Amino acid sequence: MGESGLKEFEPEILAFACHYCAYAAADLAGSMRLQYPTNVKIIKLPCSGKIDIIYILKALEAGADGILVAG
Amino acid sequence: MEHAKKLLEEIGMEGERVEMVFISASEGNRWAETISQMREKLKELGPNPLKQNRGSGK
Amino acid sequence: MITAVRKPLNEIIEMVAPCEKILVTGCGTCVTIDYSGGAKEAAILASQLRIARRLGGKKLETLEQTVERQCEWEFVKEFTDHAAECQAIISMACGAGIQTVAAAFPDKPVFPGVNTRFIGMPQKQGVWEERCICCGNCVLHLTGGLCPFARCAKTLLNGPCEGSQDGKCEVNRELDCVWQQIYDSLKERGRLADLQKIFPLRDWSTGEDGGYRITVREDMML
Ligand code: SF4
Ligand code: SF4
Repeated sequence: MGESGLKEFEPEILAFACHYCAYAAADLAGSMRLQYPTNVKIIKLPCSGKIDIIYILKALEAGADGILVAG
Repeated sequence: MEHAKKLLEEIGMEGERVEMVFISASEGNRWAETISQMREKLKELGPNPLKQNRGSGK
Repeated sequence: MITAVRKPLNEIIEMVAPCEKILVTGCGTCVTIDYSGGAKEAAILASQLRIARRLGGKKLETLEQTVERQCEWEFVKEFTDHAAECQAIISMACGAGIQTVAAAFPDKPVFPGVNTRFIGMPQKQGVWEERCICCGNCVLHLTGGLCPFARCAKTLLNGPCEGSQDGKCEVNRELDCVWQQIYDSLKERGRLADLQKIFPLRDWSTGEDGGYRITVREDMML
């Protein structure tokens, strides 16, 4: 991969967030108008304990660059 | 989570693509920080290698 | 239950290398309970294989299907439709299940997805221990409910060897000496007298040494 390709690369992050903790935090970050990268897609889970390895693998297969599980 | 990393490394992908953090509902700033850090790390790692050759998959 | 562990991924990748579409089959009984070959593990393996193949720039299609028990014809037949679409089948059942699948689909390669280990039980979360080697002539009534064949490194039947020390086995100091455990167990049950019984030379013909075993029950036959 060329140097220029790397520079343009903007990673897509998929975040699995607990409804009660991290999702609320993300919500708060929004209302606090904090700056954070925009290429995050959030999937809300009822609890981060609901995360399953297969979700992570499938997300990677679908092309996510990184996965964050946030409880 | 360790298991997920191991599964990835077994295939030959970087385990660091997957992270787990605990953020409480009041830590809006922590959320923003975590996402920014992760973005930096992923920039180093480069794109998901699966994107270049989209096969079947779901 | 029968316990197994997933085969190393590289081995499986090699087995399926010539295939473009495979069926990954799980078994819903023992290997589901021990997290080695159930529906979830089948999904993980299928995904890993797809990813690995794509990293190599090629494509692998997978179907997944899990049945109640792969060690019975009736259940294995359920794979028929999916199998017809695939070039090979990976079975994540125990050795009995894999062989049932192989016999049921004689025109397809059938690959083992797990290494079958032993008949045992979960000792605690994530730890399984061997309990029985299927000797065909159980002695647990005399040994305080502890199997000397599965659990003594030397398969001794009349008390411990000289190497038994502080409750540990001389062959592997990490393991408990089952004869110490048998003694303790009989004592607790007030049955130490059972230790006085000398087992005569054992007839192992009920074991696995005389070729494979077949159980016939005429009362159950149609
Ligand atoms: S004595 Fe034989 S049947 Fe009984 S538990 Fe041991 S190996 Fe199994
Ligand atoms: S120490 Fe105990 S378990 Fe180990 S070989 Fe001797 S009798 Fe068997």
